[in-house]
Amino acid sequence: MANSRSSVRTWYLVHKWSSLICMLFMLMLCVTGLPLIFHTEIDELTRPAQLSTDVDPNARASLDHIVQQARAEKPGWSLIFLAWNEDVPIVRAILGPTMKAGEGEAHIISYDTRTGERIMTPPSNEGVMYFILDLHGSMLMGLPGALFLGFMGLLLVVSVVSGIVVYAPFMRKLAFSTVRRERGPRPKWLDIHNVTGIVTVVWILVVSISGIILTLVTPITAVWQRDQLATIAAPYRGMPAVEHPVSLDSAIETVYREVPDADVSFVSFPGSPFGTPHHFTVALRGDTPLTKRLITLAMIDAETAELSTLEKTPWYLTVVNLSVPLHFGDYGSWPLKIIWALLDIAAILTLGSGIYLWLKRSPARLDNLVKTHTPQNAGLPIEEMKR
Amino acid sequence: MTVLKSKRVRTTGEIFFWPLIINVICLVGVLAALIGDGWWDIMSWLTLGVPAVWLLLIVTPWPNQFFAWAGGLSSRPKSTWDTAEFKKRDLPDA
Repeated sequence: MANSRSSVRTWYLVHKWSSLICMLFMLMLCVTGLPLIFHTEIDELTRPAQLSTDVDPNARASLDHIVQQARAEKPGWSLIFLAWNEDVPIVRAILGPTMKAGEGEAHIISYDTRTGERIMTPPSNEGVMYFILDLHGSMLMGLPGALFLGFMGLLLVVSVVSGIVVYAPFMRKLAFSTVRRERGPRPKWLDIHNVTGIVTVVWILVVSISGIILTLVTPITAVWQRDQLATIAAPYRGMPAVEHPVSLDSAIETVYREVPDADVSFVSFPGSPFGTPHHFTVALRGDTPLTKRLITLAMIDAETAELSTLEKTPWYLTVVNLSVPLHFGDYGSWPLKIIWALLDIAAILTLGSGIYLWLKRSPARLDNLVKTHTPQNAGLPIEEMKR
Repeated sequence: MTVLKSKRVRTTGEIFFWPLIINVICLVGVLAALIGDGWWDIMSWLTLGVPAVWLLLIVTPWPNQFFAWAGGLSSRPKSTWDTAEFKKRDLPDA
């Protein structure tokens, strides 16, 4: 902790430089993050999915029928995976020019899980909100952009930790939550910076660390492919890739036979990056609010429709799955989203006031600040303070 | 709100006491809605929401100006010397 003048100065400089370097990127992330908190609501207002209402909610359409429709709509393209929406009975078929296509090239079609009928809705990888998400996640620059933002997030964590250390010397003579408005703009903005910063520490650390983890999804998936997926594919090594996999319905039937209360969250087809060349990967969610983020994999042999293995995903995938809600703030209904937005605004105030304080700096001020706020000088009149 | 700047020097423990309490409450708020629904969600909204709203209230000037204005609404003069009548009285030539 800061217990000498040079220590305070060092921590202050760490705080200043880590903040300044990541400042503009963090401001961009906070500002683009604000509408993204409400992207589900915005999508529902601007491009709602039309779902029929007079349908038996427990009906389950044939997945093979959905697969057939999807492939017919995009002949020559590969169906990579199906993803089930958690809240509404919609399943999205993701097709790509090849099995390893990236998100930007994908063609996404939505189907009603109860009737199998196609839902006319603009694709989720197009439109204003998708642009804002792409800007937020990678500055429109794909993996290098995402990794760069992850590094900026790391600098933010350094800034927050050093900010906590530097907070103490500045609060030796001020009561907590004081905002001095009668002494001009600098003390006022310093106090606003300090109080918004110190109160939002936990929230900012949760959002930034989960954000950093999310920028690493591509490398983490690569590790997973070499780890658990390689182990699952090992017995099939050397065998040719599956040309004509069994029907998806029969594969899912096997899953329900083995795991009666299964909640399927996605299925990836043989050859996709999220599986092996010889299996359907069927991902199952847990059934309680806590365990629904813990994914169990049911690997179904694509030629025999038998269950090859039922395994939990490794800890690092669970960490990624937990980082999604903790970053987005969408796991506590709309009041939590509003609170997330308020805290985002507080973060913008912390960043903005920080910029203001740096712009209005002067060299003598830093020396004076450090001198007057070191503990050994506490309580002394200025003339007696040691440098 | 005018604040008397205290000359008392605070210990590190005193400085971090309230920030620590508030941050622990916020941590509970972040995790509660993740653990369950219903009452867990409500606990999240309160433990995370109250600090968030309080924070924005103390940094915006308008609530403070409102309180100052509301205080001035009282028409009772603050002292006998503070009335317009007293200030207009005839004073002997110095």
